[in-house]
Amino acid sequence: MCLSIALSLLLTLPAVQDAPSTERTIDLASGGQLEVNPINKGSVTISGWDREQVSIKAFHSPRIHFEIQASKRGVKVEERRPVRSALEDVRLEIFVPRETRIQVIGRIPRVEVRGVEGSIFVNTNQGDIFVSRAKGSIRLSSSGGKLRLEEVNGTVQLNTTSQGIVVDGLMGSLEAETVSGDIALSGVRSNRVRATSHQGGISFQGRLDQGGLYDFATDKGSLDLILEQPVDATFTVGTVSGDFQCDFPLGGVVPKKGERFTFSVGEGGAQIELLTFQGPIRIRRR
Amino acid sequence: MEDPWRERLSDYLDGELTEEAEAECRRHLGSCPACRNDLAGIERVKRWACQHLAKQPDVDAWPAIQRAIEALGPSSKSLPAGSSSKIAGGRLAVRKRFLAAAVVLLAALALVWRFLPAPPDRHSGQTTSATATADARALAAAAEELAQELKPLETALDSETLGDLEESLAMLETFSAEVADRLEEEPENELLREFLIRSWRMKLQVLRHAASNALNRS
Repeated sequence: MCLSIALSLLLTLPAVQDAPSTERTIDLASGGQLEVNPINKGSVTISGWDREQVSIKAFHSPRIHFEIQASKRGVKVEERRPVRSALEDVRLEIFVPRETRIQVIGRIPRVEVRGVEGSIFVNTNQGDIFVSRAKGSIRLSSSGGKLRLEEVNGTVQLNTTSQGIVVDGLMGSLEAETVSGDIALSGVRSNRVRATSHQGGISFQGRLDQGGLYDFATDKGSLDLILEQPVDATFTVGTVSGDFQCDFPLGGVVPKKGERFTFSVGEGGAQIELLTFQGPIRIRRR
Repeated sequence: MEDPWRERLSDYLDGELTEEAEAECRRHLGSCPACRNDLAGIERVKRWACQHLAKQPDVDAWPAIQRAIEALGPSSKSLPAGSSSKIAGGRLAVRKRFLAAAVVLLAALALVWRFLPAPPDRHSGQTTSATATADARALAAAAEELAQELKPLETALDSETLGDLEESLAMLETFSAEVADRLEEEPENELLREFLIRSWRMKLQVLRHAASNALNRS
């Protein structure tokens, strides 16, 4: 009896994990929309490809049902589960035309979007969100999920409540905000960056654009800037009780806690504002 | 024991239940006034949210609230007097629910802002005209409306998310109180004022995202 139960489990599990339980391919013109809403738990991976088709493979138990609707506007994928049932892992693997507008809303799934050049909007309650090799307008938000971007070109808004934000390789504008996580920005070429955290530290490694505007503020964390040469920037710095260290000459300005002070490096082109309540501020050359 | 249908009401409203479950839910609603009441609340919130949050992100109430905060600027008299932090902090500890915190926070902010004196004009040093006062009134009204509208969302967030949000709000609340205390000692300190405004703005952002998350849930 036990053996038969074990055998039936062994036979059942790989079927759920290895072969898609739901599979569809739908024509979708470039510029169309993919809406995945909602996914409760598991993972969603969306990749751009060169075909004008959407391919959807969903791996899930028989208790879950996926409804896939196609219209001229786009494709909508919805997870349905029985009323009162517990949340179950599902795995969605989707390929879309590169210039698709993506919208994913989920409870606790991990969401990954790569190689998409339309717009991307992802909102999760707890799941991590990872976007790479993407272009266009990107808005990611989560209450308890980490946000990570790699090799992105566009207008980016990132917001998480209790986790960190990592951006590695961005051309475009960036707004990043978290209450209790760290924000790590590297390889950023942007003329507009705003990063805000309450509890976490903020680090920026990269080159400043001439005429760019950069605002970094944290209440409790530290601010670390590692700047590529040449640096032409005007720094406005304010800290209530944090320490200040700078590799560049301050031109006679004497830093004072509790007050803003301003100094320029080189021709002073970029405008940088650095604010901490109690964390240290460090500006270093690379 | 908690009614298991409560957390499926949003699905019911969105037509996301199976036919069988939908019929069962309809029968349950016929005999459960509490769920009928919740359903009406969720319906109202969704209508409100479609209007203010989801469909028109650029013309919703939030930018106006943020502008109003910035325009007003905290005054040393206004901050600890009504002390939003003390009101919200006390209830947070007791109720342990995000929405309680959100509602109390917003109501308290509305109360504080309602009695704000007109802020000084940055250029002339004189008090500003009707604009700031009107902004203050609009802000108070928006916050009150939001507080009311957010109530039914309690059932729409999972416990982990509620915990995160509650913790974040409490953290920001503690910080606001700390800055407000410092401002009492140094009322002219512009840097402290800015940190206070930032903490308010972040609280509002947290609430905004919480509302969006609740509305987007399955």
